[in-house]
Amino acid sequence: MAYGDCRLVLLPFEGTTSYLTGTAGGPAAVVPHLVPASFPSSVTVGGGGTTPGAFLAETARVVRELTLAGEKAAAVGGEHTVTYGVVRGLVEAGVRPTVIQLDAHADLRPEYEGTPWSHACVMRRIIDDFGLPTLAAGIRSLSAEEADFIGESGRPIIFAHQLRAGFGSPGSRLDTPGDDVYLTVDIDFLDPSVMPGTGTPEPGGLGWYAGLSLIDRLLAGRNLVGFDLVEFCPPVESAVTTRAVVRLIEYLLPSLAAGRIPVAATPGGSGAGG
Amino acid sequence: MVFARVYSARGHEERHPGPDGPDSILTASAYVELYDEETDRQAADRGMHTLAEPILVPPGDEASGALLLVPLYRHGGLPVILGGSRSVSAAAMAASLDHDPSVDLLLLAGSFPVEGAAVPAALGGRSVRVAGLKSPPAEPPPGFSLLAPARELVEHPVRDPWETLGRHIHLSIHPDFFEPAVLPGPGNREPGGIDWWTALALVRALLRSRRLVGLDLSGHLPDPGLVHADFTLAKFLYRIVGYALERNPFLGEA
Repeated sequence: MAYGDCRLVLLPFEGTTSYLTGTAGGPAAVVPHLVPASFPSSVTVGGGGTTPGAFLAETARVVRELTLAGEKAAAVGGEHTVTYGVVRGLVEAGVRPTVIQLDAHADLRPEYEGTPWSHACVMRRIIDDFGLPTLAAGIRSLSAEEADFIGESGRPIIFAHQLRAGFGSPGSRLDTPGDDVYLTVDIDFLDPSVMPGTGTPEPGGLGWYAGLSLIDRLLAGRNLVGFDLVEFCPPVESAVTTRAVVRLIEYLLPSLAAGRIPVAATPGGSGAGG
Repeated sequence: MVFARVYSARGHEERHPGPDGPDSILTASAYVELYDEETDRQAADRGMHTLAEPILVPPGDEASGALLLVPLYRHGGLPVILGGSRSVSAAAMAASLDHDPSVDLLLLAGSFPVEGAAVPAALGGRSVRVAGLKSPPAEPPPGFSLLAPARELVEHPVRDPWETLGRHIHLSIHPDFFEPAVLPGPGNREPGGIDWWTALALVRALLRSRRLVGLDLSGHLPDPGLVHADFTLAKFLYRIVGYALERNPFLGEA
């Protein structure tokens, strides 16, 4: 498989994680285990210690330029906040995908611990600032206020308990609001027994094969324009989780390689509102 | 609801659970949501208090320890007791019995406490019903009766394992009730435990038509490399509290 138009985008940012820290070390832990011969070239954005605004602006610039050059981003975080920068880069290049979120947490808070740039707010920021369609799956942790927002906004969401009960026909394609899709994977969507190395683990996640099957159902027949894996926290656990994250990246790359940047991609695409 | 950390000064297990277990659960609980998307209910948004200071119970004298816990039951509240050694369960059960003599005592555990001999002495002859044993013996130790082993809970989820229990319950939970993959730790190495979703379904079924008088979770040995065990137990407690409030919505006001 050739990944010539895929680019690994490393996003070692951590500025707002709530409890256990170390997600900035995620990319450095993963990269040595990737097989170089089969892997796309990489670009690293910034470094630790910058503000969310500066880091996200730089991430957006990098992704916008990649996209306009016809390349597709396979991003590795970092905390979940980095997804905002990648999506902003796509939007600025004129690409407006449906954002599919695999996650244990809804991440729909308007702000958390005094900042709207918290990893607990990233999907709310993407919805409010870019107006993109979204689909969240695997969710099993949210506040009552986030539940109210989901009810009022009508945003589609598939909870973990619904997946466990067999959501839809087994193996069937799941509906999404559009066919150009961006996939953001918070590794805590899988069960902590599969992905223990994350900062805010939640019991009741999917097993490995159930997780891959869910990805298959979401991506079937759709155009993957980019993806990210975020919230790997090596200090919590790295032996099992590093290998699992690498395998997940390798699993997604063929779908990304088969995807195409929509022809409508033009510089200076609209940011806010959609 | 009153969350209390209860320690015995000395446990009887190979590693002595002390302050680390309750403290790790309380720390994780700060990052666990009270909202339950499955029931569309908040576990509680008022009336939850955590005692600032731990309660120290005398080791090997759970009956005396129970007297220290009795004040937690005042005003109709639900005490949520975080031990400490697994022997704290005996003190918590005795305190619930003191508060409500009609209470049935239910222990969810993968094994009998090593210090199990202390339990009957503290409970004045009242039997403890045990569910979730991974390797159940032919005859339980004195003071215990077997309700359902782990294998039955896992393989026969349709059957109601709680049908012989009364309307008022004290629920004791030991972490080895769970499968080690779900709840890893140095105190939980035996395979054959209960998975997350089955555990939720079992407790929700238990509390659907019963009043929870007291709740304790004792014997957690945290491992810094396996923090998801702390999160799992914190979330399990919140879910249990939520199920209890489905039955008795006024608990949160106590």
